[in-house]
Amino acid sequence: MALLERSEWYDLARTTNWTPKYATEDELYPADMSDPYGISTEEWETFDEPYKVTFREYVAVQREKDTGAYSVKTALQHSDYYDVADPAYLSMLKMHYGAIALSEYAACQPDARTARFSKAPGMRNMGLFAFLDEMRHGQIQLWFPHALVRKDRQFDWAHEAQHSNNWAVLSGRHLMDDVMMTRDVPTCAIMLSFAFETGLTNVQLVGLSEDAAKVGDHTFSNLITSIQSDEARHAQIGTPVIEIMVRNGKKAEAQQALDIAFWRVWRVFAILTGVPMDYQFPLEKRAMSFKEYMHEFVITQFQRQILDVGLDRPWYWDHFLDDVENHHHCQQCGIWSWRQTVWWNPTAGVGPREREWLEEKYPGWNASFGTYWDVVIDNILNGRDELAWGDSMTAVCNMCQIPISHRPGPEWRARAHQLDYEGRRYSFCTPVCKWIFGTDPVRYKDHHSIVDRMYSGEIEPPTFDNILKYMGCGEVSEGGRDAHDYAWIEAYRTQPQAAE
Amino acid sequence: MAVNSTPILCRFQYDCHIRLFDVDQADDMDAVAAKCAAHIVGRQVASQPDKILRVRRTTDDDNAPPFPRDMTVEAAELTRFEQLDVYFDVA
Amino acid sequence: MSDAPDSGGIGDMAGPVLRGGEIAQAVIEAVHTDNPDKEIVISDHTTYVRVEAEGGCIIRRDTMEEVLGRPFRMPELEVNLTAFSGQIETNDDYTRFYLKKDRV
Repeated sequence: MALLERSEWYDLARTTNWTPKYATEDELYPADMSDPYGISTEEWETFDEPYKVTFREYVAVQREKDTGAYSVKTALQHSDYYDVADPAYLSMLKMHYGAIALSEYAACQPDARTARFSKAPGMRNMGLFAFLDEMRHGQIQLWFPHALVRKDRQFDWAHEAQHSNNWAVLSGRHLMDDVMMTRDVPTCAIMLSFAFETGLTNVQLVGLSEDAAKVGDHTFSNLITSIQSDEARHAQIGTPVIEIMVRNGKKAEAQQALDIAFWRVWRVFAILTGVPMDYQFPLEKRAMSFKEYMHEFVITQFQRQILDVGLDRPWYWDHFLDDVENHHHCQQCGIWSWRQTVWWNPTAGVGPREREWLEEKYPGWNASFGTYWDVVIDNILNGRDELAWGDSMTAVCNMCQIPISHRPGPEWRARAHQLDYEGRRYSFCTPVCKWIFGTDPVRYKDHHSIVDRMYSGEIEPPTFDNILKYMGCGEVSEGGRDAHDYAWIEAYRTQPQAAE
Repeated sequence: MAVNSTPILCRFQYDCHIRLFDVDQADDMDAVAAKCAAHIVGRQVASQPDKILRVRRTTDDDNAPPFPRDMTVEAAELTRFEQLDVYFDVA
Repeated sequence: MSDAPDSGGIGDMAGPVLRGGEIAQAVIEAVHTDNPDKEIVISDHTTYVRVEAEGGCIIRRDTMEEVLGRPFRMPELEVNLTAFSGQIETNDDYTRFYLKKDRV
C-alpha cells in the first residue's frame, strides 16, 4: 500500500488553528474555559502530543481492544465462575462497577471540552480520542455487570449508584465535580490526565487485574487492562500542558493543580483499590500488598515523572506516605462496621492468618487496627451480633466526604481538623483536605456533606434508618452484610489465642 | 433534631472514627460521655469497667483540662460540631 | 519512609509496562537488541511485565518485525501497553521511553 507514513503528514494535518473573522479569539476561546492563565496562542500551538495517534490508527486499535475484551467475556459467559466465586470477590466487583462505570461516562464531558476549547490543535485531537475512550469505558463497564444482575441483585448498583446519595457516591461525585467537571481545559489536563490518570489509575487497573487473574476472573482482568491501555495514551494530555505552563511562568499554578487533585484522587482510590487488595482478595491469591503496589507505581514511578516534567513533589508528601500506611485500613474498619450503608457485602478479612499477613506488610497493624477488630471478633464469637454493627453516624470530611478517621488503639490519632468560615463550621480529615478548602473557599463552601444534610432538613428526621433510606440502602437494593456470614470467625474457635 | 440539642463531634479514646452525636443543653458531662459510649464501648472500643469517662475540648496539644463532670452542655457553651475528647480516667 | 527520602531515592528507570503475551515477549527480546549497552530490568508479574532501563529504552519497528516474523506497526503496541514509566515518544519507526534529564 502506498500510504504515507504518519510522520510525513501528521504535523500538517494537525495545524488546524485559524484566524477567526466572525468572532474574536476571546469569544471563540473564553478564558474561563480555554486558558485562565493568559498564555499566548503561539505557545499553546507548541503542544506536541507525545503519544501520537491518527484517527485511522485509533479506530483500528480500539477495534482490536474491544474484540479482545468482548471475546474473552463471550468465551467465558457459560462458565459458572460467578456462581462459585468467593463472595468477597463479588463484593469487589460490585464496589468497582458502582463507583467507576458512570464516572467514566461523566469523563466524556471534560474530554469533549478539551476537544472543543483547547487552544492547542494537538490537544483537541487527543481530547476527542479521550472522549471516545471514556464512552467505551462507561458502556463496557455497564454491559459486563448487566449480565450479573440476574445472579445477584446488588449488581444493579453498577448503574444506580451514581444516581443515589450514598455516602461513597457523594465522595466520588465531589471529587469528580472538582477535578474534571468544573475546571478549565489546562487545569483539567493537570488534574485529570496527569494527577489522576497518569498518577493513580495504574494501581487500580494494572494492580487489581493482577489479583483478578490470580483468582481466575480473566474476564475482569482483561477488561480493566484493556481500559488502562486507553488511559496510558490519553493521560499524556497532561505532560505537555505542564511543560508549557512551567515555561511560561505558571509553575506555581500547575503545582497547585497537581497538589489538589493528587490528594483528592488518592483519598478515594485508596478505598477502591486498597481495601480489595489487602482485605477482599483471598490471602493465597494476593500478588502484593496495596502498599507495595503504591510504592511501585506511584511513590517511585509517578514521583519520577512529576520531577521530570519540572514540578516538585506535593508539599504534603510526608502526610501522603503516612496515609498510605493508614487510610485504607481505617476505611476498612468503617466500611465493615457500617456495612449496611454500602451496596456490596464487605468482608472482614481479619482471620488469624490474614492478620499475620497484615502485620508483616504493615508492621504495627495488630497493636493498632488489631485492637479495633479484637472487640468485633469477641462480640461475634460470643453471639453478640447486635454489637457488631455501627449504629450511629460518623463525622465526614467536608472536602473528601469520607468518614474522618485515623489509626485506632493506643496511638489514638483520629482528629477532625476544623475551620470556621462565614459562620459555618467545617470539619476535615487531614490538614491536606483543610488546605484544599483554603485554596478557594468560595468554590467549596456551599456543598453540604451528608452530615450537614442531617441538620439542614434534607434528611428529616435524621434518624439512622432515615439516613440509610436517603442513601438508597434497601431502596435500590439491599445494603451490605458480612460477605461470608461470619464463617471466618471459626478460625478463632480453633485458635482462640489469636484473638487476644 | 430537637431545638435544645446540639450536634457534637466525639473523639473517643482508642476509636478509629470521629463520631457525631446530638447532646442536650441540659446534659451534664457524664451524660454526654454516656451517650457517646453507648454507641462505641463494647462495639469498636473495649470496655474498661474500672474506669470513668471524662470530657474535654479537643485541642492541638491534647492538654485541655476536663470539664467538671456535673457541668452542663449549656454551661460549657458547646457549639454546633464542636469537637470533644472523651477519654478513660481513673475513678 | 526510607523508600523515597528524596528525589535521589527513586532512580531514573524508564520503560513500558505491558500485558503479558506475545507482544510482551517480543518487546523483551527486541529491547535487548535495540539497547545493547543497557542493563534491562524485567519484572514479570502474572498479568503484566515491567521492562525498564536506566534513563529509558527504545523499541524499534524493524526489530519487532524480525522477532515476530511478521509486519508490525508501532501503534499496535498500544493494545498491550497498559502503563509506562518515564515519558514516551511515538514514531513510525520506534517508540522511546525516556526521562528528560537523561535523554537516550
